[in-house]
Amino acid sequence: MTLSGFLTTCRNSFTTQWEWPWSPPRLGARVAESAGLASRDPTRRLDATRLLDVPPTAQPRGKHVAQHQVSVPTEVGHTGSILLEARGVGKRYPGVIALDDVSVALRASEIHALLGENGAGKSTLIGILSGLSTPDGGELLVDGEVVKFANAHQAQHRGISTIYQEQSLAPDLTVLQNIFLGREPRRAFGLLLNDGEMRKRVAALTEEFGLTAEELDQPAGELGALKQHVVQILKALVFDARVLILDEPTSGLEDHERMSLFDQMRQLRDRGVGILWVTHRLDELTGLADVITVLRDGRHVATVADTAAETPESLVRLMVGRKAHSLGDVAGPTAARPRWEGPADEVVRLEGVSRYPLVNDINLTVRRGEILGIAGIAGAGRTEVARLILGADRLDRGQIHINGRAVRIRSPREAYRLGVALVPEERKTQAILGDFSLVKNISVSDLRRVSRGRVVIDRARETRIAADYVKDLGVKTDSVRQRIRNLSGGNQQKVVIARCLFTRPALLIFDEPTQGIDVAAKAEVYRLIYDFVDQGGAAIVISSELPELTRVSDRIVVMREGRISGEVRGSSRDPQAQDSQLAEDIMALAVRESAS
Amino acid sequence: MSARDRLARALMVEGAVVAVVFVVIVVFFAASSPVFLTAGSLRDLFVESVPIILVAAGMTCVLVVGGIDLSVGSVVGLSAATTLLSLQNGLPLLVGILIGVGTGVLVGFINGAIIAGLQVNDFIVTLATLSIGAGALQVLATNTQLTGVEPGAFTGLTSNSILGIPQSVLIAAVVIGVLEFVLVATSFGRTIYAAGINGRAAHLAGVSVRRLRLQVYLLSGSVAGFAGVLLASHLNSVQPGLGSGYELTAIAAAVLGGVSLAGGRGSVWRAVLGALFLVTLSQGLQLLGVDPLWFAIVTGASIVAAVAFDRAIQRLAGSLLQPRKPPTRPPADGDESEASRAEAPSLPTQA
Repeated sequence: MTLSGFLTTCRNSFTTQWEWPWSPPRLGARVAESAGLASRDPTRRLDATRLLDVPPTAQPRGKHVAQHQVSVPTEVGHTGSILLEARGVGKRYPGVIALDDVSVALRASEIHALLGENGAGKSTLIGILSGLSTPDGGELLVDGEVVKFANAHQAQHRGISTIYQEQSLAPDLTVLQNIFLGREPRRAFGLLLNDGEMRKRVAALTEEFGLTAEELDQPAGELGALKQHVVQILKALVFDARVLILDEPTSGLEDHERMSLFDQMRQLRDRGVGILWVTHRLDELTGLADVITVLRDGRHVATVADTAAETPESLVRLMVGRKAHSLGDVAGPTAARPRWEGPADEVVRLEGVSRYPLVNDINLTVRRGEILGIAGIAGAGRTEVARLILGADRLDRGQIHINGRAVRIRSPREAYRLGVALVPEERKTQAILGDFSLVKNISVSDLRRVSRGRVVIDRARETRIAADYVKDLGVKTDSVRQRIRNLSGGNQQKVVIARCLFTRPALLIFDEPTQGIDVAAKAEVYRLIYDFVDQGGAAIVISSELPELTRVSDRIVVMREGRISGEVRGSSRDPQAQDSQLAEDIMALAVRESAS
Repeated sequence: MSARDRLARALMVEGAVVAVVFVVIVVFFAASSPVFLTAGSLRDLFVESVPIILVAAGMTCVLVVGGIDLSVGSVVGLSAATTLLSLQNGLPLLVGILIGVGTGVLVGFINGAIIAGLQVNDFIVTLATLSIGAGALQVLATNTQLTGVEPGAFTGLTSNSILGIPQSVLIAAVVIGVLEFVLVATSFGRTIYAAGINGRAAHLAGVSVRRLRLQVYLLSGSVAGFAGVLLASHLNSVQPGLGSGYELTAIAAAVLGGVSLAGGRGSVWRAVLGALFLVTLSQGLQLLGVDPLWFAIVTGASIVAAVAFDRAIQRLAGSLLQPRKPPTRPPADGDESEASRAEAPSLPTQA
């Protein structure tokens, strides 16, 4: 911390409230507060059960309120008091204005959705609200009082907790230890942890949020994604959070898990918590968001109080600002595609393929010109099937046929030689080579194609061919020598697809191809999949987003617990099919015994 | 492009800084000692640096793939011993050299097979083979008289010159040139970098990462073995403990040259420059009459200073390159914002 930052911190802490912001978290104000010593403000007492009977109706206090009572675009017809407000905040990084004069107000008992494409400034805004970064302009108000956060800790002290996309739990500590991490109640003059006190404090909350007593003592890493979210929410609640910022909480959750998370968000709202909720998925908003704020290019576009009047299409229009993309358009034109008219040869056939215990007796075929979707909840074995076809794992039993020939695939390298390519699910950790240029990322899977005598790389040829792919796939970059990690997620994904196409595959497997990329980029990814199969390729698409899967796929097999539990026709072949009905059918197959 | 931009880009060129530091100490020693730049002393300098340069070059290949090879220290000594032993027993020169290199290949194969095949931690495995190799050298050197051969073709590898340059220096230059070419221009080299940047992604993209790891340890072992052969021809005798410490010097040299210990970054010629820097330093200190007891301290301090200087310059160049025009486009956000995050002040993670 710089000296001036330190002084600001001191000043703030004295003007707002008595606390020691510079003390180390482990032994600092938190512990003193936990022991009930330091907190003078009754609404901030660290007593979880209080929260149940006393909905925070904290009145705006402090002299700043009067002079700032001006109408901001976020003044909407809600009754809850404003807990957290940003007024005209801006943030610039070298080379970019990430946020420009944005105002948002979050009220008590409100679920406030924050929408925007990638690059719209959502992350920057929540960074500012949660104390991770300081705005260059504008001001933050908590309970109507101007505040400056020097770090995330200070924001937490004011009851603002943020839950990020990436799980930030210590995987090897138990749930209980995670909840109280760094803020453990102590006994015996602070030498020992007060285990009983911890359990007493979380008891009411765990029951309410469906966490069992056994789970409290499990390592956090052993819980599923949903339970880990719940733990983070509890962590915030135990310490009296009144504002929860959720950064894409549903990414990585399955559909039924999302539903229970939404129930929990409603519970939180009912007890007076204000929730600021960042999401990419417009279908989630219906019936849940009270207010929707849309950002575009770092600017505030709209704050909508009457959320019932909005449709996904109208929101996309606000987010994109260009011509209306309807969600149907995003998934692609079903009729206008120039379908593959050639022979529908079988490209891949799996016969009784098993790898115990995750994959059990899988039979499927994919033909040229066809997109096969694989649906299922996490852990159903979808990615494992892809890995088996790619040769990344060994089969225990069964036979794979490629182009009608029985093959044994012992490594991904062999799979690529046979004409199989994979777009992996985790782009950052499993797909991109961050320090490599676009060219090198594209050529890496088939260096023979651009090598003289299979050994020495012909750089000119390599660059030329890679540049062709970059152009064809519409990757936005100023140079093909740019490092791939400087691109946006959507463009990175297109480069990964280019890498696969570069190997001229017969079968292309897409594992969660649109995870974490924006609406416009999704549309382009779908187009690339269509182009590939319409020119005679065969594709397998694994996706947890059912609307996407039903629109893109010709056929969908549903997996449950390592087995195929059923097959349905996708709506790309069947114009009469209702996507919502299809989705219900798939969910039924994915989670319980076959309905039929 | 302004002069400022040009300066910044020149500084950003990888290896520029270590080259500058190298030139600075050369100039310093040349100014302080009249004999430093004489032909004889330069010749000594290059002959002395041959083994460590080779080891550093081989080590670079391992480091780039994301591994580490500590065994090279004892490989150098052991190869020197096996070569000398073969030649003393009357085997032809070429066979002796092959036996020396073969020793290195053998150790490299053991390393690679255990690390890639059984997936054991590379640090532990090569630490173990370092110890085993040192022990084997001890046994060999104590039980046999490795006092050297009659001056001839073998010692001539070092003492004979072509166009005034010692043969061993020329041979080393060729080996380094080949390694640099392999790493930069061949598909094998390209996949080494790919595996070092992200092994998991490279594997799923069709790179045989395990086979690559085995090959890289073979490469490192054979180059270290060859370094041992040339060292034996230079010294024409082998003591127990010969070559010990080479592994750490080679790693220091590679890091000085900008090779990343995390893998994926670095180049052979820059590691060679780093090794030359270290040898020049110790030779220069000798010429200045500094007590050899102080060498290790001075060397250690200068490694830290050089690396810190390099990082500081990189940061300076980065700040020179920042645009001063008003920006027009917001950064990508969400999980795509690596570019903007890299530029943002380092943010604490959630407390």
